[in-house]
Amino acid sequence: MDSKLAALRRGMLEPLVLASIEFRRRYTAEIAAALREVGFPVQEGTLYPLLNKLRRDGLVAHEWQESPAGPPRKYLTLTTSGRAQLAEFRDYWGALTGMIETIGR
Amino acid sequence: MESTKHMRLTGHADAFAVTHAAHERLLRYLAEARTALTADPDGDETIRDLEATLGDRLRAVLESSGGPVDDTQMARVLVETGPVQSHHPVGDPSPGRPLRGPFWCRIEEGKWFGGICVGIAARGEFRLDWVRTVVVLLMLVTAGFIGLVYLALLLLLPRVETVEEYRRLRDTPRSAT
Repeated sequence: MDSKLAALRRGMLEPLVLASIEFRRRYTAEIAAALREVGFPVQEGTLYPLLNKLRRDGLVAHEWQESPAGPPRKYLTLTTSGRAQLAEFRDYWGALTGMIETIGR
Repeated sequence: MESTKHMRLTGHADAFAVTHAAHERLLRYLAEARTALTADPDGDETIRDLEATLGDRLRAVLESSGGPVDDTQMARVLVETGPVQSHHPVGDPSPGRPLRGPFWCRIEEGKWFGGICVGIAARGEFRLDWVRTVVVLLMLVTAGFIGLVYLALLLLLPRVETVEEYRRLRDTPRSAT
């Protein structure tokens, strides 16, 4: 992929992860599956460090729940500041899209 | 028949049967992950998360194949999980907190006696066989006196498990260790 597009794409990871748990809590494998589904495949090796950073920054929280097989899972939810950050990103994204659409006219 | 090992992963109650080569491959992957997460304050947490996920995948492999996980299967599981990428900038772990820096210790990995020589070699970045040669020569020259020093160091120096662990501690901010 074009390196310019790759840089844009990298910046999208965090907002997409936040958006993936906007309406319902998910555990990491479900977040990975959701990202894959929309055409943004990300591996756990990338996802776990990011999720732990987001938790440290207070944007997501997790609760443990038993899984049918294997160890309990961490289900992630957005915190209030996580929601605020996602809203802020959407506003900014909208503004940027507006710019690129209108500047040349 | 290749020798089978049983290894444990965080969160999983049962040990996983893996071949020797697969075991080595997994250890390499985890060591690389730890190196990548050196500057990450949540590195340990991330490693635990990864181990739990790897365990889920290995369990699925074991259930479908029955036998111990072989090297090819392990490679596939690790590719699926992907290389670990920290989201904290490397080399700037947390501004304002100085790194611990080099320190004296004794190291268990590859020790002959107390691991003092391994520790000295790691601390000074010397070659281990040279350090050992010098110590043995000193032993002869000082008629065993250096042996007493060695024993004293054995009591005084903190113990570190591996050279890699030493490097990780050295490159981690003080208050984070």
